[in-house]
Amino acid sequence: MKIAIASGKGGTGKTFVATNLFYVAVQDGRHVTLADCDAEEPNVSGFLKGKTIRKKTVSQNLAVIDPEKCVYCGKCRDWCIYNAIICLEEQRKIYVLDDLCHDCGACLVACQAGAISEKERRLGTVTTSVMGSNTVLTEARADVGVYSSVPVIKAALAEAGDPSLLLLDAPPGISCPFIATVAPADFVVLVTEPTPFGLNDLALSVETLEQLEKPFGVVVNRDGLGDNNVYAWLEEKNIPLLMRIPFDKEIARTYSQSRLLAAEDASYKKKFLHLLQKIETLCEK
Amino acid sequence: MKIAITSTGNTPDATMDSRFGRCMYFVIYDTQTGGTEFIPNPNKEALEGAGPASVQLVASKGVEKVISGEFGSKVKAIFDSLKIQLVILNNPNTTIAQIIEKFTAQKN
Amino acid sequence: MARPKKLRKVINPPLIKGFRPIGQEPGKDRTPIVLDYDEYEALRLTDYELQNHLQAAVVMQVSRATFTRIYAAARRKVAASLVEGRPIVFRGGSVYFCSEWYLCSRCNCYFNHPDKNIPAITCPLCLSSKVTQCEEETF
Repeated sequence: MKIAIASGKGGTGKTFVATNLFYVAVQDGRHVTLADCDAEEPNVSGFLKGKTIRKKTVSQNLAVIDPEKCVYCGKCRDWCIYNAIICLEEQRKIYVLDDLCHDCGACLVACQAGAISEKERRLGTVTTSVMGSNTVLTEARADVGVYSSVPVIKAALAEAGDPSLLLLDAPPGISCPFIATVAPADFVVLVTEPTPFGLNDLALSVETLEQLEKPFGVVVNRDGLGDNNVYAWLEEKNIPLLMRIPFDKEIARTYSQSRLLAAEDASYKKKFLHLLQKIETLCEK
Repeated sequence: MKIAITSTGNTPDATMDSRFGRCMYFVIYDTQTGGTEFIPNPNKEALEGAGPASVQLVASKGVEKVISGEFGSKVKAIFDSLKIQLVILNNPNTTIAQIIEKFTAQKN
Repeated sequence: MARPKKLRKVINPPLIKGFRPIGQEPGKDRTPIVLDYDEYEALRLTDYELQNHLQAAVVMQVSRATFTRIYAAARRKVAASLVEGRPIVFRGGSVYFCSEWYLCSRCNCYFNHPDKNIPAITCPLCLSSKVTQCEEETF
């Protein structure tokens, strides 16, 4: 089973929930992999350290056009659906916009003049570590300045494979990196906070997941910090409320010191295990 | 000389569109013939690369200047290397006719 | 999207592609030393235009400390080229080329000047020559 932990608003507690779920799953004797898919800012390794067994570089091939060989027919531009090529026949100028090139290879096929080749561009790395024979950590890490981290996330998902339980720590928001992460998930946990921004962004995430037809449930973190409008909204929309975590300075302190709450607090260990079981029950329906 | 102007409508009394890549219409004005061509922008709804695709459109019409309200970062460098001048008008209520009038006044 | 690398501003690229040493001994290392455009610009502003590091940093829109780092790297590379007899090749680093921008107060428009072969700067709309140069960030 694949469970993604996501949120609309950033900073609500995805990694907090994901790492603690992972911990209780391991303690419960499961075979589990935790994949950190927040490639622009992976932070799971701060909490969980394994022994690195594999590190792969992820790169893409960008189109390079030789202006000497180019006959300025414009075929490559016509075939490029990402608007990454500008071809000006009269001025005899041709440009490839690296940031828009999606590495699909269509222009290479289109070119009859042999003017297009590829150059490799590094995007990031995927690191696999183990903590035990069936306990795996995968991390997607995009290089600084890379325009889209999606290929790195996809590579991490491929590396993570199909273990019996796969937890995916998603990037915040609802754009391409989030979509790439939740795409293979059987269930999505949306972590939110009871504030106006939290609710606004939660609604956007819900709208997106409904379009993707993904089953999901909500965890409200830092309960008591803001207002209670989110609860009425969840009831109105008939969305399962999976867990309420009260705002607690001690919890914040534990997290900020890179410690796992479930490892130190028996009642939270129980609550997170309960959360895992609840998700599994909902998935069976 | 040909000039491109981004427009909100397809008549001369339409106001200039302050966006370049996703404007409603491009107006190609020829200072020699006085002719104006209104082209609906096919890149308005493009998911990505509306700016570069619009550069492609106006550059292939042979314009020497482009007038709009703002230009994105991806297009400035391309226009620079094509030696096409960019003009940014701050007043959003300027009409296409008023802009063209500035060029006809230059002839006199 | 990830935070983009902070681009260094270079107003004009070098006029040439690089330099070759004269009278090199055969068999010596001919690997070119690559001087990035921002390193070239650092030398141009400081050693040629005689600005100090603080002024040059403002022009290139980086911190003074970053500018000094770029400048130090540039000097080291030039020194290595002279001492080791290796060619220098210019290459674009994390820079963008900014053609200068001007403001015409008469018609309240901003315009740039991409064709540097044309010397005079007049407003393209009203032909007024009362234009002031301005920083790209002001609009």
